[in-house]
Amino acid sequence: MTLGYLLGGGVGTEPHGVELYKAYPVMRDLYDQVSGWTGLTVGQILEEELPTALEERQSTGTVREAALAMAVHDIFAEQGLRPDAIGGLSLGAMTAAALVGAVSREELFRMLVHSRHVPEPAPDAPRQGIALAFVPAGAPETDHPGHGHPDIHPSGDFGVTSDGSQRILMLSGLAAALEQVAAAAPPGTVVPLPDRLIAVHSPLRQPYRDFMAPHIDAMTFATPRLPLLSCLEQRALASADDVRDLFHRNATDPISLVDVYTGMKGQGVDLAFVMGPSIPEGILDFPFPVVHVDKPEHIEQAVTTAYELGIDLTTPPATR
Amino acid sequence: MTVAPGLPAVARDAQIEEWLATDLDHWCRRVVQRHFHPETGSPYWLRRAAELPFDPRDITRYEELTELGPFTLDTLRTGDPGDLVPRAVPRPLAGRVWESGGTTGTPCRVFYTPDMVRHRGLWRRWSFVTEGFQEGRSWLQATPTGPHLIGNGVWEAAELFAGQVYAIDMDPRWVKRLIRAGRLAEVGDYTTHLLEQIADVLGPGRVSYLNTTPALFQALRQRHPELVAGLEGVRLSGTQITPAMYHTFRESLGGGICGISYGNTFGNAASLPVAPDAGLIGYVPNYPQVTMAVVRKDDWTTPVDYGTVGQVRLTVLHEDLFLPNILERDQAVRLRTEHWPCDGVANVRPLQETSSAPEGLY
Repeated sequence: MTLGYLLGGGVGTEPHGVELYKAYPVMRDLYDQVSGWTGLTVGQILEEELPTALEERQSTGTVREAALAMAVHDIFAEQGLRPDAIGGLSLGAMTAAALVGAVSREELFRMLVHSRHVPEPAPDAPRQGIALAFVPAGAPETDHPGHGHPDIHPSGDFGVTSDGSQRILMLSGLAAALEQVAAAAPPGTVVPLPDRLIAVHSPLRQPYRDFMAPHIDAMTFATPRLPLLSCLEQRALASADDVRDLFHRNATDPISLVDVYTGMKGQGVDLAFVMGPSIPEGILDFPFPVVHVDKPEHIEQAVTTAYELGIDLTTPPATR
Repeated sequence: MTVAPGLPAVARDAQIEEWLATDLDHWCRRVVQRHFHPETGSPYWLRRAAELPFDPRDITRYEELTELGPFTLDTLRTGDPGDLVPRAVPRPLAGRVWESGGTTGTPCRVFYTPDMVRHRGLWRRWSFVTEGFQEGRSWLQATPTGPHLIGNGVWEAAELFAGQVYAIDMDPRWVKRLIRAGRLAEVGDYTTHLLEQIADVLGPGRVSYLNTTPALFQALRQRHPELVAGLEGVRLSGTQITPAMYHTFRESLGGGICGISYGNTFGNAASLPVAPDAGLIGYVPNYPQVTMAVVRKDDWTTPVDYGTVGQVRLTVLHEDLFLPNILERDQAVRLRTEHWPCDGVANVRPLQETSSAPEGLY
């Protein structure tokens, strides 16, 4: 039986992981390290209000999300539990890369904190945003009200909902266009997300990509020690260059959770732990059971499920 | 222990048929009247009746049981299990107190009257027959025993199914304690300890059927596939099983039987046949003593639509034990049944929270 770790993307505004931080010394040690690498205080990483400046807010938020997912990994690792395959969405993909040795943790966090220096948009630049589009489950991914709009770009595919009725897509673009399409579409079909002011995974992020490129080029990447599933296409990243390519393209290319979990299924994953709160529980359908882990009680639930489904809790992944 | 003394097979089957033909509202009235009878009712429910703003004896329909609210399981952790048994059952009570898993804290305890033991045994035998198990074979029961009702399967297989039964004990509370403490290497050691005992019994090929948990069977299949391939059948309950696991088990067993059931100390459900490659494992409860509804996670009184996932709500309507509206720590798909007088449940797994905020996806 094969265990996978799944890391979500995006940057939440709510603090998570405070209970885990209090319960697990290994997490406190990690946060001390992250604090040293990033110059952020543990409080800023863990729970304090995020900065208001757009890119700085995004940067600190990514540090927060990545640190929590990594901490959950370390809590399991301390108990002797490690995955056989790993996959992530956007930031989760990059964090996953660090968990399988494709990039050092320090370099990952230094990159995330470096992104705060991305120039802020001009004051008169049109507002950006993202929205979720809900389409019938069997419909093609182009079957959404924003399709063909010059200021709206398909930026993500989260797959089918747990009741099998709908497929959730992400659209990025100019906020005015998204709001206009949402207003004209049947209620609930296109839902702009409040406080998401960056058109992630779209061509509008080219300035960010260009700014970060020299930093990413200077980073050291290695071959992943375990199957690392891409969120940009359906495949495992097999080399250091593959991983570097993902780091470059992640800002501007559409992401797909379907690609991640289909790839994990292809690796034989029978059970996945969702590391941290970045994929809300119970909304999506997965091709294997998942256990969401962002509170202390979830650790026990996850390990119990692994035991019950026959994951060998004591054998190193290489021999499992 | 005698499970079904002197009851021939034909009579046993007739009893099951009679139960399945029972009108649920009629049965509900019968059980409610018995437990709330002023002189011969059960002490617990008579005390509750005095606290209720209505007379529970006015309940005439199964759906009206929701008026009693969700059953508080703490009652079964702290109270006298005999208080749930109607005084119509002669005192002093003589029999076993069985406990729930107790893997999450103080266990719940219920007293099983002889009728309850007999009824459970009849259903269990019915399941064996339906699934294709043969009488007079040898069994290995590798499950929790002691306070756990699943361990009564030793006597059920022996007495109801004329089986020669070997037994190995496992302690799920110890496993859970090790997991809670993060001592996973010791979980592995304990599993190895159990598998060694199982292999010792199965090794010489003297056992036809294995009764165990899906978790332990999975471990056995992985470490000793040759022993699994030599079995004529396996009966599984006690931990979750996914469709993928089930199909893997079937494959490992060759043509052997893979029987499964879902339930706990309070009530059980037998599995429906699972088609090859099916993504759904369905169960039907031991009607009318046990019924299961699948309800909204945010509103336990409202069933979800067929085919969708909700929380399992269990109701025990035994003449000697009345436990309405137990909100299980499980979720399942609500299953429409064609040849069963009540809903079934499918793809049972531990309860998960459900977010109502998809915006958290990014």
